[in-house]
Amino acid sequence: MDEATAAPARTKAGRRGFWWPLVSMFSVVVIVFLWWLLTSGLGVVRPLYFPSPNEVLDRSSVLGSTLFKDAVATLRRVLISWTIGCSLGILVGLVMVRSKLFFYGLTPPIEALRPVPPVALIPFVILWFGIGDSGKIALGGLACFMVMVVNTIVSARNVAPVYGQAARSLGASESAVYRSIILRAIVPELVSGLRIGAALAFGVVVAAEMIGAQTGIGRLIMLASRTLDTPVVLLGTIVIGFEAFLLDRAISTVSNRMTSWAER
Amino acid sequence: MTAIALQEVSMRFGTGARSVVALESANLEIASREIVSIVGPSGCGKTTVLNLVAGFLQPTEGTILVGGRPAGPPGSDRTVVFQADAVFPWLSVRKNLEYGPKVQGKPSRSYSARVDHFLDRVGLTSFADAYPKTLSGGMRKRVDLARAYVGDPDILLMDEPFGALDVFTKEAMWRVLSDILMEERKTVVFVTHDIEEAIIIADRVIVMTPRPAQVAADFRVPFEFPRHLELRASPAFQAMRTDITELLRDRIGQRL
Repeated sequence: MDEATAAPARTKAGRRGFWWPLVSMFSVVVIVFLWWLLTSGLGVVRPLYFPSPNEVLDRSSVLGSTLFKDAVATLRRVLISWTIGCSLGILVGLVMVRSKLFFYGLTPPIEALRPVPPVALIPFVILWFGIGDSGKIALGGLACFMVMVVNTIVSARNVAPVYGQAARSLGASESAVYRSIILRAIVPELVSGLRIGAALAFGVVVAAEMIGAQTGIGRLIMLASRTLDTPVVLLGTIVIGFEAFLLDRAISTVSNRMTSWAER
Repeated sequence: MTAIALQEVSMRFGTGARSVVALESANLEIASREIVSIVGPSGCGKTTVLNLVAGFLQPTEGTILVGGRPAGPPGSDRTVVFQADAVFPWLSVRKNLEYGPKVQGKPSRSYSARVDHFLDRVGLTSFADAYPKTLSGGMRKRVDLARAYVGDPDILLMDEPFGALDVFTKEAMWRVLSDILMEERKTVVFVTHDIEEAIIIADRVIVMTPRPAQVAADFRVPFEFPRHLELRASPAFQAMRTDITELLRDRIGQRL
């Protein structure tokens, strides 16, 4: 039988794809260059409205370890809230998929709370948890939880029924279908939720840091904005962007390895 | 011995005025180790018959016996091969074949030889560790067939299994199926709307018609196994094909 199909075409496409990352790198270089050109180079934009790269670099070396501490504080809160929020979200989502009782019982509170932007709860969170870590983690966790509950339920619903039927006719029990089919098939779809959750956690944690915190990039930006120290404001946003990018990359690298079976 | 019996089986979906009759007082007996194809246009209830025997559906009326006992929930005694791609994409080819016995908690030494054998039988030994996404449609169907065989079911239920394949791949699948059936004969119910396929695969062709969804005719296929593709050109084959086609045209009411 002749089955030398699909496989060879792939390597060719892979070799052609080698150049695309260079295009992305080039685009970054162009953006930084334009930034420099409009601020320092031509001086078209006034430094107060948009600081130049040199100023931002200067401030980062002045801030030094403070900046690093703030960056670590924010990242730590995001990571903890993301981990706890997503795990609980997946867990509750799975329970709701499995049990009608939990599904109908938990749907009203979740659906009522879900459209509320977590940021709107900051006053309550500060009242309940104070301005320490726990409040920010709770808020970021809540955001991730909401995303993952819905994502998990939708992913489980999207599993083609034919897999479950095939499994049962191969001798799988109802609970074996859940374990060996549903839990396996939903993984690629869960990953998109995990990535959305990570981005959301950054947004919520930084917002909460702006309103009340002793450390964190959000607080750094807030303090700088009070004195119109725009280079630090910009520096803060760059740090957040960089951290968020790294986390997203880490998630997708790990998940690509876990779901190498999925068609992309 | 009777492997499958339908006694006055009716199936309605929904209730009241909106209910749809998918099957009306159907009677059918399929002997053990008999290969039966059920042919008919869409809406004739052929897939309903299969789903009832598989245990995916409960009849509204009547009794379904499998091996002399009422058909219970789906199980590994009657494995289904679907038209849709049901090969688990997250498992390698070998793991797909191992799925049935593994999920039933059987020790690996009890099935590993059988897995190897059927991998070889469908020509996929060199793809044992590949994920299904790298396989063609025909290869995935062979995985599905081998997976069904590994569990050694009494009955193989095939729901238009080759319906999505191109004609050459389909012919190749007929050969794979008939070879594997020559080696290890099973009771087969093969649902299709392809009349040629229905004849070339089976010992017996059951023709079903819609509105009311019933068994319209029952043909015994006289040709010896192993059958070759050239059989299709023979006058006897053509005559049978014409008979079935005309019968279906009569019952459906040709609107051309």
